[in-house]
Amino acid sequence: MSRKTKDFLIMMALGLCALLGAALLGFILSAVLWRGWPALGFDFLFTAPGKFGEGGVLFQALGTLLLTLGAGALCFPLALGSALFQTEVLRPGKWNDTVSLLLYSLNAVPTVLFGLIGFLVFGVWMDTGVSWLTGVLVLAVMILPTVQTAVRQSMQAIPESYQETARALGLTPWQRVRAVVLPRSVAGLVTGVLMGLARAAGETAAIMFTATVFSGVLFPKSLSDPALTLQTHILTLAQEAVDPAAQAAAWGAGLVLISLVFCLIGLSLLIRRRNAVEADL
Amino acid sequence: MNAPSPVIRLQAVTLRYGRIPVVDGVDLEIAANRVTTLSGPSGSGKSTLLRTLCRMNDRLPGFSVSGKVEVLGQDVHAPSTDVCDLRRRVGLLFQKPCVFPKSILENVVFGLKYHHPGERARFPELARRALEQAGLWAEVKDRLDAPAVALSQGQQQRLALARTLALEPEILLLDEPTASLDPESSAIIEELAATLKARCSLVWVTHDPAQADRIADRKIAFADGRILPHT
Repeated sequence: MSRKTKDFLIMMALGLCALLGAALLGFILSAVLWRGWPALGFDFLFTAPGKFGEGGVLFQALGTLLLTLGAGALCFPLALGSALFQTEVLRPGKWNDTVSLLLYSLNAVPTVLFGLIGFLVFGVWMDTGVSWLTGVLVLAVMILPTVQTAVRQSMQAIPESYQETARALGLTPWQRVRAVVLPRSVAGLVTGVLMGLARAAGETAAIMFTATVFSGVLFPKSLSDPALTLQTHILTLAQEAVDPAAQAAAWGAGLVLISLVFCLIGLSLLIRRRNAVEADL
Repeated sequence: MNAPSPVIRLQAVTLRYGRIPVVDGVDLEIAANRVTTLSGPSGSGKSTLLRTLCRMNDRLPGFSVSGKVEVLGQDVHAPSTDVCDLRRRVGLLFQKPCVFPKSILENVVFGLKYHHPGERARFPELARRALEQAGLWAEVKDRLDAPAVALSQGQQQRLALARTLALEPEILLLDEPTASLDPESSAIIEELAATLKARCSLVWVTHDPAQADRIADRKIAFADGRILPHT
């Protein structure tokens, strides 16, 4: 086989892999859009849920946002502090590598285990029960590696010459963080948080038995109340609904959820691109 | 007439990366308000020694110091030493110019904002003075808000010099500051040395013996981590 043919075949194989990945995403999006679109409408988006599978998904969407934003707000300071500790305090070496390895490993833990352990720690030992607060705590821990890794990588990407210059000018570590690290990694910070939020918004297993219910509440009135979420709504309808209208409502809720996730991802890409352009100026 | 008092005094200083000595048992005194050049081949330890004077090697893995490094009458490795204050008093200019992606003015006042936050009203005046000292004022006075990265390499190096001079250092360390510049820009920076030594003491690392001849009041030659005799 000639070298040219070999190159062509390898290129085709690689292209096929890329196409397959894109096609899978395209298929999922098309299926959700195709089946979910008929359910969408003003009432569906902006009214409270009715009987099983009837009514709108307003409070489910609000519940999802509550858990997602709560988790993001709780996780961000932890991720930022931990990333700063790794990049500014720990010197490169085995301790730094160990922290990274632990965080990567945390990312690999199945999310249902986060739910189980989170419920045990927060729900039982800390007595928060099945509540939106437990869900926020579980999700915050779950997205911590995603957010921390993105934040840390953006800090590590800052040219060393900037850090050296700031050091040589006698800035204290905290002044250096304010003057160089945070301004230069703002795109990574925002992207990391939004990617974490997107992951939290799409999570079902970890909150299924720690924070959410299918019915019985609309919006939590206290810290110990559970919340309705789109994820639990979809799961319950998909498993139990026999009525085609209820099944269509599940697809509609799926479309709302996936739109929410894509909005977060799109926003993170937009901010990253805008900051990349500004950094080049 | 008394000899100027030393601003830098090294006693039996050995610098190591791991077990390997880069500078080996150096004794040295450097006088105030002079241009002192450190020259020698690559790997002879001159840049490592220069950076040690403002403790810029502290974070390097495996780096260690023995002996006594005294700068401006202070043991730089004493527990009581404020490293940030030491670095403000002992400025360092790197081989490659590094400017922040900000305006020219913002770059000059970068250090001032943190060391003299209460003097913001004086920043334009201090920036002008620093730019004049660095020989850049005439070229940038009409575009102080322009991005610093748009300047030429030589101008960027003088901007970096102005940023350091704005903090009024008592010692200025220059680590091959002209190595990445064209001859014209190098000549401008060399000329500045003669005027700057009235304000501060200059320690200049250079590879180029001819440059050392042109600028130095005192030349120190390094080889294999030691000072060559008669320098």
